[in-house]
Amino acid sequence: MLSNLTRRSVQIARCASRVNVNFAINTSPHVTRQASTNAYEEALKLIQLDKKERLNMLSRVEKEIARVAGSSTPVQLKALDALKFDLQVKAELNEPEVQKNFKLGKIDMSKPVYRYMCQKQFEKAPKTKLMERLTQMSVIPDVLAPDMNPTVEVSIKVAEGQVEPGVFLKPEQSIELPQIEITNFHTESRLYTLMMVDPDSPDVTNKTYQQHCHWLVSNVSLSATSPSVSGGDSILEYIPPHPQKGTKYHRYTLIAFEQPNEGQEKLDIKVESRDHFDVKSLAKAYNLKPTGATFFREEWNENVSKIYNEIIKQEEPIYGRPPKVQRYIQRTVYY
Amino acid sequence: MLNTVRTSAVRRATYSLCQSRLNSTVSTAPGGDTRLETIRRVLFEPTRRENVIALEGEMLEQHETIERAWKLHRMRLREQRERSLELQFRAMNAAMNELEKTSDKLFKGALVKSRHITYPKQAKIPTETPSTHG
Repeated sequence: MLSNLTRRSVQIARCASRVNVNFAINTSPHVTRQASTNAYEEALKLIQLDKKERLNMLSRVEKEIARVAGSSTPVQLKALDALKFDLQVKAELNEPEVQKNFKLGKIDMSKPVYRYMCQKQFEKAPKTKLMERLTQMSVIPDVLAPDMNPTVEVSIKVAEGQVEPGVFLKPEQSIELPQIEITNFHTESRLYTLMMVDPDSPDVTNKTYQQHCHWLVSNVSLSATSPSVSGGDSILEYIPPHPQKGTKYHRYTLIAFEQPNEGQEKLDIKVESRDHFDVKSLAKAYNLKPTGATFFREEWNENVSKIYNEIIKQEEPIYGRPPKVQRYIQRTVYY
Repeated sequence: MLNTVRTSAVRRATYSLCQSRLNSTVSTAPGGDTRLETIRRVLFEPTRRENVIALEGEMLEQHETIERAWKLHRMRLREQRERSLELQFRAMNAAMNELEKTSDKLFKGALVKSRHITYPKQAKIPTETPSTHG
């Protein structure tokens, strides 16, 4: 079975199939099918054989885990679990049905294969773009630590569609809290703390910018099979982003923290005020680990005045430059 | 004086020769390519390449499955070879450890003297008839 699968025979079969496709489309389809299906059938046979072997190995590993459950060190157990996960993934990874389902989007996160494939895809495509945008827009040094490595994917959906990290939104689009989905790769449910922070809120007294917290919820339980955000203890209610008139664009960052002890500990966070917020000190105080982040940008428009009047119920501040002091020339008469 | 006359004459001669060569470029006859045409073709014509086959649908799936299976096959062969090598190494390692405990002289004799000599000089090639020396 494996002996006839030599390199040369596979090459011949595939070359033959290609040549057949090129000029034999009007001739009998039976000839076209033969060469490529031989290689395909052999491929399927090999994949099935490999799968059987891996499943055998898997059953042995599971027996070993059951046997050593109480008596071995956590490191050994972790290694055995990793081996089990690896076998489960690799057994199914080469199957054409699984690959097709993944391409079509029919992903069942309860199966280890799909979780593995999703994670690989996340590491490749959205994560690099996210990190690029976060660093480019200076969100990483300002709000997050430079050694932050996102392990979960935070995706925001507004009424108009998916929000890419760093795009400009209109204030009217973010009046309602957007739909947040956190694509994570752990089967057990862990508790997360989510917050939305604006690092570009003006601080007039200190003549600088401050962080302003728009939203803070904790103890949100999430898992691979239930990624959408709902429930949790709301510590600061959601206030829609209101970029003030006269300021440049604001970066509204949404951060997902994993609560300590692998998300098992329930937290009770106390925050004094929304202004003069410090994300890093809060994370340090409660031992939170930032695992996911995303952000979008907004600028002032007339709807911000409406937000100020209706939702925040404060007078809208208008910022501008301070008047220029004429130091050397003091004219009493202008001519 | 004479030199300058000669060089200017030479220059005029080459100039007229070039002119005649340029004038003699005939538009491409079916028989032959004239030299300028050839030069222009070599420099400027885009190379004709075969279109890459872009598979779709069922053929693409089959192609990808075949590729994966081939890589899987090579991986299995490689791992089989590596496992057998590892077993051989372990057996040798265990044997050498035992030998070290047993006899110092034999152990030193069994160690590799030079990493560059990997084949025994005394090894004989197979012959058709037995040796005359015995």
